Amino acid sequence: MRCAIICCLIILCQLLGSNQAVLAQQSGIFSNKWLDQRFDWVIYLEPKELEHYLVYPSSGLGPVTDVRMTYRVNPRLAANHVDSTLHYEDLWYHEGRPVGCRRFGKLNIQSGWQGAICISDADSGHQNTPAEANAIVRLILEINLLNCNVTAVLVPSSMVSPLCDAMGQFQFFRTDGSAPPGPSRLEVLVCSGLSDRNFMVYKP
Amino acid sequence: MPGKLNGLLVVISLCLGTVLLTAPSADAATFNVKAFGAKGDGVTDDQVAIQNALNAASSSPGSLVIFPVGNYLHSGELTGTSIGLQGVGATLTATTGLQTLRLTGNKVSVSNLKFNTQVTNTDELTVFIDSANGFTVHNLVINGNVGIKPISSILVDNGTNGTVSGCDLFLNGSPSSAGITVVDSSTVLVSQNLVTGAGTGVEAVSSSNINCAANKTATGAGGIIGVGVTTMAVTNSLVTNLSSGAQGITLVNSTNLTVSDNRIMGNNTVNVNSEGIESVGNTNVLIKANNIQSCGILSVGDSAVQILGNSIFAAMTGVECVGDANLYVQVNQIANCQGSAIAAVGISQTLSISQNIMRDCGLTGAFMGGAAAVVFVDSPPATSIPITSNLYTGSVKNLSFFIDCTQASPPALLAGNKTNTLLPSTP
Repeated sequence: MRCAIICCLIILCQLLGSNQAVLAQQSGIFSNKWLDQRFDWVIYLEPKELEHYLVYPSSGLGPVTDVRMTYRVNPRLAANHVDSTLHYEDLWYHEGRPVGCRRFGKLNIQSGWQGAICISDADSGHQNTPAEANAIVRLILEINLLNCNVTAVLVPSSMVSPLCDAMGQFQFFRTDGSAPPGPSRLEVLVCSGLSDRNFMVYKP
Repeated sequence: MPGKLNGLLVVISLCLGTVLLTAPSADAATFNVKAFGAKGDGVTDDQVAIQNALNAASSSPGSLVIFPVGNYLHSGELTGTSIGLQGVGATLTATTGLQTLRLTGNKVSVSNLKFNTQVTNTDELTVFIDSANGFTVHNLVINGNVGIKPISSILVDNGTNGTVSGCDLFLNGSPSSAGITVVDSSTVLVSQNLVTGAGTGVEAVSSSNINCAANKTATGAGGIIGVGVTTMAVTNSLVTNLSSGAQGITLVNSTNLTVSDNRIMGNNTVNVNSEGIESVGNTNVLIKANNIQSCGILSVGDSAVQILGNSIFAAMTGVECVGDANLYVQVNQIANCQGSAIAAVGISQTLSISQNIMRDCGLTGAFMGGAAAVVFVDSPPATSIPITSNLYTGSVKNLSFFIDCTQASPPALLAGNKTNTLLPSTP
């Protein structure tokens, strides 16, 4: 009986383990409650290096970084107010260059909704920052096409500066946030907390 | 035919810069006050001569009384019926504090005249359009006192189908006085007038179809007032020099109101009792595209209110609404408020707050009901509360919330609201 309980716990942990980063955000400053008070939806990015994938002699694509994208709609706006996190897309990168994509479902957010992109703490070495920056810009454009807004990119404090630097590759530059908002301005906030806000504006 | 000939002669004489003296006539014609003995020398009392001219003209409805160049002193009220008065560089100067000119009847007019007074510290009703149909008051310059009693410089009482336009009023009035008052009248255009120094610039009371357009007021107690009016538009006007506690445009117990494209400037000191536009107890109110500075918009007990596309700067509360039914606050730009940008309390039926762009609020923490929020909503009577696509940037000082809608039922629908301050919202 005890073994059966332990097995069940292991299976449960494995199921939940696929989204450890999200679970890590269930409490603290980026908890679901904290996010729900500010955003209509949140897209989570989880970069992870795929071990041994496309790694072979003469391979030009390995190693591959898989940026897993899941999203969660604020329960007050979700159908039947159900709180669920859905797998949206996996983007594959090699040394910061996009090499593949797999879509798992539709990004089901409605026109006008605004939200945030939340990046987990897994990439402590920042070796995946270029891939994350690319994924963020790709999402910003995609979400704008849906007539929605990305208000903020929420990241660990150690990642703010490298990410802002990496977004410069895509013409996003730091600004002081004092310019009045305008309909044609593409702006996003990169922050790790209330007192650490970095205003990024797109300057083509 | 003689009337037409006289009119032609007057036109010719005006072109030549000369004064034509016309004889009194029994037909609708043109009468020159100098033909009746008026001197216009600024010394002689022309009261009798002018009144004789007005009487002669009144006996022929449709006649015109001409005042050639000069300063005509008069010591009492001047009256006329169904006539017009027209000046040619003429000034009427009152030597007593009595009513200056009273016109009644059909198609009355007074134009191109300057009114002065030699009397101080008394009341003077300069032009009184009394029970007239089809009246025109145009291009007057009035320097006068409307000081002690609640009295107006130009008063239209029981008038229909008329215009008061292009008049410049430089008054010395008490807070209870007014520059132009329209009462118990219908279909009146009040446009392009300037009023300074009175308590209120323009007021309409118990009237209908009032079009108040492109006026300028620099009056202490209030700019433009409508009370008990059915269908009134206040548009393209400039309201300045408001005293502390005064309201720019005030509308009370009226129906079908449009207040649009006005510019209202309070005094530089933001006062909790001052409002750029105050609407109380009205039905069908459109407040649109106004530019308001140092004061905000207050709506109390109104029904079907649309507050759209206004620009509000440096108010205590940008838009404050209490006890309204069916309220729409949309596409406004609100900045530098001492407290909230938008506060809606006790609203019933639909309350919609959307697409407003707000910046730098909560500057002194003077929040309505103590709610430290950019948008504060406490409206349990409402059946629908969409709060969508609003934007806030700037100061977070003294602020605890972006949108604070603490009521449990009905819950507000919050979606698309954006702030780069990371301030939370409480749906």
